[in-house]
Amino acid sequence: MSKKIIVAEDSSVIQNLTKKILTLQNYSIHTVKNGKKVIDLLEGDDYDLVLMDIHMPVMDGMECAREIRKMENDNAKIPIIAITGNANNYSMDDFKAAGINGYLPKPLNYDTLVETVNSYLTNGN
Amino acid sequence: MDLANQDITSLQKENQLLREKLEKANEAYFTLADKTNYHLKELFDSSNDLIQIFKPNGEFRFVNEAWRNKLGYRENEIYDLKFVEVIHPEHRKQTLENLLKITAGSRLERFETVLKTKYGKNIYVIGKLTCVFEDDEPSEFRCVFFDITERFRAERAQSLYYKIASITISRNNPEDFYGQIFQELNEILKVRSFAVALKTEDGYNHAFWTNELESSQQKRLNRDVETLLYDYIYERGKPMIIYNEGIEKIAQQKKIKLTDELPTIWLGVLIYMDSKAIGVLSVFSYQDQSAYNHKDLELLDFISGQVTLSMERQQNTEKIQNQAARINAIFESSTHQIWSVDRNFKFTSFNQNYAEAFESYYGITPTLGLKLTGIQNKMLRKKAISFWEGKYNKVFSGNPLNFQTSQKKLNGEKVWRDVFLNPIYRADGSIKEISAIANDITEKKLSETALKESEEKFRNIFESFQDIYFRCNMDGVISMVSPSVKKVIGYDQKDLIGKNITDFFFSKSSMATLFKKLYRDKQVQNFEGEVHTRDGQTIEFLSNVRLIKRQKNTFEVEGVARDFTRLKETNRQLVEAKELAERSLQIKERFLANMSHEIRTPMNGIIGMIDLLGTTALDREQSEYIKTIKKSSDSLLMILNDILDLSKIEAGKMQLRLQPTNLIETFEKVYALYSQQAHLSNNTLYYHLDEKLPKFVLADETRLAQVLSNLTSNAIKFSPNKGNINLSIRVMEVDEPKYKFKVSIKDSGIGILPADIDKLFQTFSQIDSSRTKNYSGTGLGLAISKELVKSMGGEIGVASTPGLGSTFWFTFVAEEVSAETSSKVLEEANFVRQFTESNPKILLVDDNHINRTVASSILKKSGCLVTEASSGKMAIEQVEENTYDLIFMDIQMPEMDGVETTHRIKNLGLEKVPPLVAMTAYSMEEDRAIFLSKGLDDYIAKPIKATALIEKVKTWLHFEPKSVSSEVFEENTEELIINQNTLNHLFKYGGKELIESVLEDFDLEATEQVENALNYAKNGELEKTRQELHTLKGNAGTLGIERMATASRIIEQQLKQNDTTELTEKLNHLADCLGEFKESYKNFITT
Repeated sequence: MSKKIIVAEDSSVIQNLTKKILTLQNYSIHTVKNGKKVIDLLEGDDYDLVLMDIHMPVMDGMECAREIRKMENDNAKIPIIAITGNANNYSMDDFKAAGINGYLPKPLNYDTLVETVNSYLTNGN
Repeated sequence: MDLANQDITSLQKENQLLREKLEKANEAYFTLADKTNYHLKELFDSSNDLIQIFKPNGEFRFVNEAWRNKLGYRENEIYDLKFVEVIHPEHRKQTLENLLKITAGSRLERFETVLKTKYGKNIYVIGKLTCVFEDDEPSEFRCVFFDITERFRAERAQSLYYKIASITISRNNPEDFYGQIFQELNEILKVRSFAVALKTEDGYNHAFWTNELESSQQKRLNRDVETLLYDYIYERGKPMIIYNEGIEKIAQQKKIKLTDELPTIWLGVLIYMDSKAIGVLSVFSYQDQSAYNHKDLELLDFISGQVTLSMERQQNTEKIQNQAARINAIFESSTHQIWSVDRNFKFTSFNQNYAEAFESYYGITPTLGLKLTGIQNKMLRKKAISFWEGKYNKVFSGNPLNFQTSQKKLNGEKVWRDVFLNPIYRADGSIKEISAIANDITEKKLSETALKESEEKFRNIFESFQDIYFRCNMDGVISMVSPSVKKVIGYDQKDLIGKNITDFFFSKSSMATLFKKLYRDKQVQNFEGEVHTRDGQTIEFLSNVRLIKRQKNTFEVEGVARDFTRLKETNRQLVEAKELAERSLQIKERFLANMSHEIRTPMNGIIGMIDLLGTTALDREQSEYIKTIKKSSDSLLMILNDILDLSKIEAGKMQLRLQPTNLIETFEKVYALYSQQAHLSNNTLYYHLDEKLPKFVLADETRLAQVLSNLTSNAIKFSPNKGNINLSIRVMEVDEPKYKFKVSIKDSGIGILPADIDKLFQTFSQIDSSRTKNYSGTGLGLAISKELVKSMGGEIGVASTPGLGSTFWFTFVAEEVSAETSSKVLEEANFVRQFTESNPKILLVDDNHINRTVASSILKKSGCLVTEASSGKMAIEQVEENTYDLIFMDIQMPEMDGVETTHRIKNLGLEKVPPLVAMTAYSMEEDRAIFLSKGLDDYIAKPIKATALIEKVKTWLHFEPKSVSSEVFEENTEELIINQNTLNHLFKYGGKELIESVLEDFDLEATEQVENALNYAKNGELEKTRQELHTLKGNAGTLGIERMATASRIIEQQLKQNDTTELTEKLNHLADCLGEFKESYKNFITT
């Protein structure tokens, strides 16, 4: 059974790219375009990882992460990796405070993407 | 007349009387005859003989009762029969012939024929047949026959017994055997159905089968009757005659429904073998129940016995034959030669091997009975014959012999045989024959000889060995030593054997070391030790020793020791010579270093003067000359630098000065240095940096840049046509904090032939001398680069396709350094590119105008306030009047040199003496120490490099850098529309398909984003514009669409500060970039 990852990304370019790369790594990918939908998904089913852009309409990544951590099911502990083109605006401390475990800077490096995701999912985190 | 009458009357009376008498007599006669007839008939009827009377036409007149009974006819049937009908058809002709003979008057003593009964049975008869004549005509035949059937049968049976017995003796083949029996049975008993069935595991197998129905009516029988009867007779276990009614009964009893026609009579007997019934022999008939009787059964029983006999005999024969065959096979198949001779030395037997060997020795084929002494052959000499005679005689006297003998073959080959001769004892103890077995042992003999030879050879080597070979046990007791020991240390072999090796050889402690090593490695090479000679001298020994396994777990040590006392001496001399040579080399280096100074100084002068001359008013021709001189002197300087570098490398003086280095910067510098040159040769220079590059590494930036520059300038030089030159750096391995990098310089130039690649990195090598004219250079660049890369812990290489281009690459290892360690350097790095806010005051002292101008302009550009001084004297004046933060001091100056000037300045008694940095053409690192010792604070090599110069300022003055704006940074770098490297990276995750689909996504989305951005900007919705651009920047960056990424980033950052300067223009530029992208992406997809 392949691990389930939610990819939340406003841009369909990054969304598709991520989806394709990770699908070929034998992950099961569920894509959404904003943070609200991430919450919807997590309320319905168990997932293994959330990969999301910080800049999203409706509910941005930071808010979404905080919401996830407030959830009352097992998904509250899900690893969250942020994708951000603007790491300068937030420090790692900010991310940590919001409950984000790690981040991938934009431009996205494909190897780093795969390695990071693998590191969260093969260590049993 | 009366008388006559009377006479007549009396005569009549007499006649009457007579007639009466006659009548009476007749009556008496007939009565008698009747009586006689009756008696005769009674007589005949009571006779056992067959009596018959028949007419010449064959009709019967009379047959007696015995006849009727025998032939099965009733009395009233007789008169319808004819004689010929009761004769057996096969005998009719003969019988009629005999009848004719008798009719003709012959007398036959015995009349023989065969009668046939009404029921078809044959009756063999013998008897008398007489013919009764009336009026010379035969009137009837009278026969008296005796039935001789039984006798005949007995005779026939006798003959059958005899014949079958003889068949048994003469026939081997069972098929033939049964066929013969059948033939005899058929001939004598008229047998037409005969079967020999042998019992098998699941039924019966007919060894012989002939059936009258099958042969006459072409019927196919199922043989179910037979099977039933065989089973039955097996059950009863005795010979049996069974009639058709009996068969039916048996079938009923066994509840078997028979399909075959039943024989009217069936005779069967069991065939026994070793008193076990193994089959059934049967005779049967479909015709006549009386065809056979118990006598026939006896006969059959006899035949069965014969069959058994025959089978036993067959078995025995086979057994004997098998055994004989076995013995023969052994005899023939043996690889040994086997033969036997009798007392006359004649061959009584021999096998094929012997025959072949014999022929190969003597050229004649041996035959049985061939006498050894009778052979006359030049190959078999008398000597050989008497040799064998002697051997045979010995054996005949009762002594077995074994000996080896050699024999020359006809073809000259020499063979060896191992011969065993044994007497063959008869039962009475006499010896009439000898058996001989010989084995070819030539190979063994040869290998023995070879072994002997090789032993001798090794012994010779051993004896003539100059080194000492020794062998000892694990305690060091010598068991073997070569004679050479006498010559080397003066002891005899025998003096040493049994002594301990430590008495002469190695010291006990080194011995222990040696044994330890031996246990571990099984052998030790180049073990050095000392040995005491007999006359007390010490000889140095070098030995190779190894452990040899003798038997189970016992080891010995064997070794070869060489006196290398003299060699060692020679070595010492060599070392001295080497040291001398090295000292000479040092002198040479010193000389070179001096030369470098001597050469560089005038070179600086020449170049400076040329530059100066160039600034004066010159006519066109003069300008040309100046240009040429300038070019030549530049080349000369370059060559000089290369030679000096190389001499430094060769002198081992090349030491890396490791400093925290920003690799990105290094690349940028090289890019800046060569982009123009590349442009001039119609090439575009790009560089690509691995995103995993650590920020700072500990490296010698100067040397790294030198290699990179070298390869880059080569790439440009050898890419005469329009093309791209790509520089890239990639992280290969990470072993924190060590990184291994790979730098590639890829051009689309002329390429290099494979054969030339090896020559590339050699000193003074240019791959094609004919090209030297086209491609200038010392040919030292690659050799220097190779050495430099080596010292950086890397390798250098090239992959090339002639005509398409080359990729030069090199690797190097460097440690990552933390931001803290490198913070100082970070500032410096920024300082290189940026002006400082606090302008340091600098005094530049150089008598050379050009040098001064160059250095001055660099410093000014970097934000320094520069005062120039053209002599030491002027410098002192300046220092006395003004305060300076730093002084750059040329060393070689007329009148007052740099050292002198420095000395004076330091002694002026200034409140604050600024740091003094020497500028000199001295190039070696150790020169630095010399200058420092002479009062200077630092040193910078000439020709002056901008970065080095500014670094010095920074080092000494600790200036804070001005913050760097990324726009400037970005604009300085060359961007690609689409960076293929980035996309190629995607390839491994999803192939071309993924790249295509992602680019397509991007195309659609970017078009929309650019449009949106333009619209939002038009409406003044700056934040929305910024957000569009933010996403676009990330997407473009991720996909390596560099120009769009940069364009978006610049605008985004500008908008962040609410700066709308040239916003529309910049957005339009972004749209242009999108257009560019669309075009190249289509190309990209199609290629």
